[in-house]
Amino acid sequence: MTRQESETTFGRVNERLSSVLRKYSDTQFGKYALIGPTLFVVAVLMIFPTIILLSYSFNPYDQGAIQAGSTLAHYVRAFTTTLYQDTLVRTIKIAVIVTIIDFVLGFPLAYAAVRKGGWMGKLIVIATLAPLTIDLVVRSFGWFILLNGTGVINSTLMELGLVTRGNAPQLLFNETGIIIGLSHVMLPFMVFPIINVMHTIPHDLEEAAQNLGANRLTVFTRILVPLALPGISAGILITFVVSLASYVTPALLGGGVRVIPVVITETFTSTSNWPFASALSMILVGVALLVIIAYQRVLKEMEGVGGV
Amino acid sequence: MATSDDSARSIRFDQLVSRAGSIGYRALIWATIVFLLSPLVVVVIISFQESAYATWPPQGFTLEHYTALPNQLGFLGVEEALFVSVELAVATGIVSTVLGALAAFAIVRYDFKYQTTLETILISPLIYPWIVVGLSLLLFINRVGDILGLTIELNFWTLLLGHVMFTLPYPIRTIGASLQNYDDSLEEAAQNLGATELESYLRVTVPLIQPGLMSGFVFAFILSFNQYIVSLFLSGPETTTMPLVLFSLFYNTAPATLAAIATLLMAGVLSVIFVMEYLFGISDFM
Repeated sequence: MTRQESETTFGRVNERLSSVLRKYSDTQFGKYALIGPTLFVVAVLMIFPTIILLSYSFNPYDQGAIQAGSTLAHYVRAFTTTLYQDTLVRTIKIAVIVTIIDFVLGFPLAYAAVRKGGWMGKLIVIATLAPLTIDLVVRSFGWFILLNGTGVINSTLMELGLVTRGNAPQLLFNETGIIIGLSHVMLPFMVFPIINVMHTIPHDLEEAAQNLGANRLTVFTRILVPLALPGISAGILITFVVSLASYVTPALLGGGVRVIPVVITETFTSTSNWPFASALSMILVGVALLVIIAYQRVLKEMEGVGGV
Repeated sequence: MATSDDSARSIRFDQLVSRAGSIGYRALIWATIVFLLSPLVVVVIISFQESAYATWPPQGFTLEHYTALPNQLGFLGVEEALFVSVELAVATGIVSTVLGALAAFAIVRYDFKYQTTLETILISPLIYPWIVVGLSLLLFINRVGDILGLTIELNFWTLLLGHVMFTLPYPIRTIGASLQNYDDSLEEAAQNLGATELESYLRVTVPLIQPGLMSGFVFAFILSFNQYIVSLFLSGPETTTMPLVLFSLFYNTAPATLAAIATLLMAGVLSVIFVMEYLFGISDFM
């Protein structure tokens, strides 16, 4: 193809496409053509599969095979068997504790990132962002180095004479390990929505309140929290629901202590009981849906904030 | 004058409390920064000490764990997995960014009847459990195969479906934010000056929202590159990804070797981010 030919080819494509764009850019068709593919992908890859998951969760499972018909037996088993009840309660308990820890650590951090600015603000943003980009297995491995019996923390405590080999705290392969690891994974999800909303709160407000005699606690509870509420609730909801559904960190740091996603994966990979794995998954879907509905309200409140 | 003495004392007490509070606050911030970075730092430290185990305090300094890697990587399955993961992350990044750009454009420029609901649906993969994405897509693929009467093998494309699905909200967010930041009359201006519609989009709009496009791509790339649980369900025998290999190495290899591999991976990911930041200024939309 000569240069001239290619130019005319481009010219023709240019004209064609431009006339299409001109014709449709302000029409109903145009706007649905833009959003259609993405909606289609979300529908086909999220909504339909979830419906199939739901239908599997009602399939009877007998003698090592999935049977026709429908039953609630898997849900009954999940909620009434002591083993699964305990796992469910433990999973929720861990997610709640992680959310509380991350709020306590995350709010001051987000506040400092915005109000201090300068190199300190940058350091905080980089420190929060860096772990987010690193593989979960690598982060868990880091916690393994820190928390194991002769790891960084216990060796240091022994060195300082605070504990002996005999009574060193067990920080790994139990709930403590999961909670520490997950708090680390989820902290950025708490910090960034709060940073976003904190940018919109004028600093003058806090100074004005302090000039009028409010102490720090009053400024925090009466001014900062109410104004940052959209960011705080987004952070809390995301942290809670993602913790609940986490697999890698609990699987690597929990040892024999299991959470629901670990049980789902084990059930699926080591038995053919897909219906039970589906029923357990639907419990997670249920929680996620509740949060999405709540989140929609949060989203509405956050309009114009430009947050998550 | 007891009263003035009292009030002076209470002011001093207030100052003391406030000083203690501000020291406590600063300590909490630094402790949190240490908490965030220490798991990454100790991995790097362990990769350079002499023992094959994660002993603490670290003994000596060596590059042995790195120089031994070239002979081990193939055997550990790292080489192949890395190739699959990079390919997958790039493909995921491109597909997600293109789809996300179209959707973001529609949301920002047009009014829809159920705008909030639509936006919620589009960003809901953000909080949709990853484990459910993997499991339900696998069941879906099976069902579709049953209906069509064929066995659909798990391969690169099934992985790509899952990865596009959970990464989509990120480009939508970053591109939406960058579209909001600029004035669409610039396109009109270009058209008034004689540019065609296509030219005005390609030469004006795309360059202006480039940071949003690039940070959307980087987000999708990194999330895909690090994804474990979705890949566990959707990867086939020949498409084992890096996180899957790392997960098995966690139990099956010497800690120092894993530390060396992990350090190289961290260096790789962080340098991708720094290069993109230097070239496109992606941090504004992170």
